[in-house]
Amino acid sequence: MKLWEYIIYRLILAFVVIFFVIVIVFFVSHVIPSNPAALWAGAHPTPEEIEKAKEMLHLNDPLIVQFYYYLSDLLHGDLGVSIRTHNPVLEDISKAFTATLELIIVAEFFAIIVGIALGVYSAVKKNSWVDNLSRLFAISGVSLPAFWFGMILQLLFFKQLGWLPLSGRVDTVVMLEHPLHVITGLYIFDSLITGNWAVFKNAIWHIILPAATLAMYPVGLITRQVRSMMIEVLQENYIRTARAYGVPNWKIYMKYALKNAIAPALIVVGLSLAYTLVGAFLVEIIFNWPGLGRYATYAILSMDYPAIIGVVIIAASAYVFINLIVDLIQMYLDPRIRV
Amino acid sequence: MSVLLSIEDLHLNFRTFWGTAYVLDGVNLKINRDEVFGLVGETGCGKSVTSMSILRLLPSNAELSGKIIFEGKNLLELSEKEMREIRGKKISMIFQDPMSSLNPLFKIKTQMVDIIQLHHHIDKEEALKKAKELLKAVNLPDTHRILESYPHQLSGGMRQRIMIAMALSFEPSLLIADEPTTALDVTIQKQILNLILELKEKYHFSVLLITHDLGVVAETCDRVGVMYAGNIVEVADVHELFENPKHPYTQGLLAAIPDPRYKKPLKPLRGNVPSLLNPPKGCRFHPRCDYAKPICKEKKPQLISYSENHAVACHLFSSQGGDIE
Repeated sequence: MKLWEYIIYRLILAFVVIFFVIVIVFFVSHVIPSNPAALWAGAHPTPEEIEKAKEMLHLNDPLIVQFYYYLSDLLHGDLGVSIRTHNPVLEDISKAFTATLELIIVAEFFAIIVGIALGVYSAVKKNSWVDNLSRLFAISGVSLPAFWFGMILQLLFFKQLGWLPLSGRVDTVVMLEHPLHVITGLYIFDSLITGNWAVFKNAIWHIILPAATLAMYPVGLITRQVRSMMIEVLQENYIRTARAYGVPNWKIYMKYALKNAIAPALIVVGLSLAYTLVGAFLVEIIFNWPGLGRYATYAILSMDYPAIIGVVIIAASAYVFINLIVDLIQMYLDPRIRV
Repeated sequence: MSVLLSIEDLHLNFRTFWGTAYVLDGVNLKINRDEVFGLVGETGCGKSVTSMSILRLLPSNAELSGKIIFEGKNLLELSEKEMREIRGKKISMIFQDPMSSLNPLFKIKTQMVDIIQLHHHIDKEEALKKAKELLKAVNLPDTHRILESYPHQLSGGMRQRIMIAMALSFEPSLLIADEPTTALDVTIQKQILNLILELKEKYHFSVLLITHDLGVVAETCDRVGVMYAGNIVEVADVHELFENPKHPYTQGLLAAIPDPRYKKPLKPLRGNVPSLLNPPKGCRFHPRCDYAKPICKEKKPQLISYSENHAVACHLFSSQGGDIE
């Protein structure tokens, strides 16, 4: 099998998975007893208004026909209209998704850098105080709940020290004074390439605490995984060979050993990315971050099922594609598993 | 003949969870220029750690004392940085398992060029040219394909040839070959050994060949040292050793080789290798020795010359044979 054939095969599988996710979420969310028509019609609706809304939302048709409508809309890139906000779900989600994406990218970037550095260092200096400290750090990161950790950070850095803002993505005043030309929807990136330093600084300021909260778990996971892989790899014969030929230690660690240790650790990076998508639900509520997690939470609380299904589809697709990308990177790193 | 490497009274202990293992118990050894010195003994007798001690590649729980004089310098007194100048450049090593001794995630090209560039200060282009020359020298003419391959795409024999090519990057004066043929099948074994001997003639280095295969020793070595439980018990020219073994352990080893000419039953050595955590006092071989005398349990025998090219560490000869060295 050639590489592109493999990718196509995986893509087909991915669509099968996503299709079944859609089926399950669609039917489950319609089993929930709620009255979307009443929600749609607004406050204090008359029976006629509710009937009209039912007709418009196809709620009188059998469920399978409704599913057919949903699928055909989906194929046209239409996820329906949110009952709560009355905006197209896709529009709402894409706005929220970029906010979450920004948060996840920053958190995961931080987690990968810190995790690999700590993992390598504590493997090389096994049982040193740095290793013990990083073990404590990693275990706390994995075991402390994000909502607790986030609130502790808020108490410390906002209330006590006053260094960082409490919540939000960017200050409204700053946005009004320095209007941001939105290109990708990632504020840090957009403000950087348009040279809008006020927004850039403000956005960085706001993202530190939520990103740190979200990164705690992946940092712990990646540190421990990289450490144990490194320790294993450093005992391999090919490392002894490199030593016997006089290769300096830093080069052995950073080139020959790290590549071998990273390949298995990547699986954990993929899993932790999926975690951050879920973790964002909590973190975004705590830090009032206008992302997918907060949007989904409000959608669930108000039984806004087109929005719920939309979020689940986006999250499931992200999960599937992250895994595909991780597998492809692994194939790139390790010639032995290339197809 | 001038001495290239001389190991004097080398002691090596490993601190372990179960106690201290006395792995090398005063090893004395001389390797001359331009010779092939064989080091034989059973698994666990200390052959490999002796070679790892020379390159100072031991794990951190090792305690090393004694002297290893190489080209006039005591290797045990060098800094880690000075040691890196010795490793690969002056003393090269090839290992038992060519399957796992090359990094699986890097092309042969990358691994060879990295090592060549380490000591020769040349650019990538020239390093690649040098790599091709080295591969041709070890009879791997299909250089382009090999350089572009990953280790798992090559056979064991090819990988061992690549290891040898890498070992010769800097024209070392000593090549340590730690069981270089053990993981290979018999026809490839023969080719690899012949290759090492050929290259030795061409580049003039000495070889320390570590093996448990007396057949390999007989075919390739000039001189042989026999090791038992962390001691060198006998050193002799290869013919002398096979014709006229003195130490009861050497005699036992030779008696355990099947000889198709005689249909006599094999005579195995009785007993087992002693635990190095709690080695026998005196001569470490005495519990297994048929000729053990009371003194053998008390006093450790020193390596003394029996004749011009033959030394043995055994109380049976200390009173009869030559004088103490």
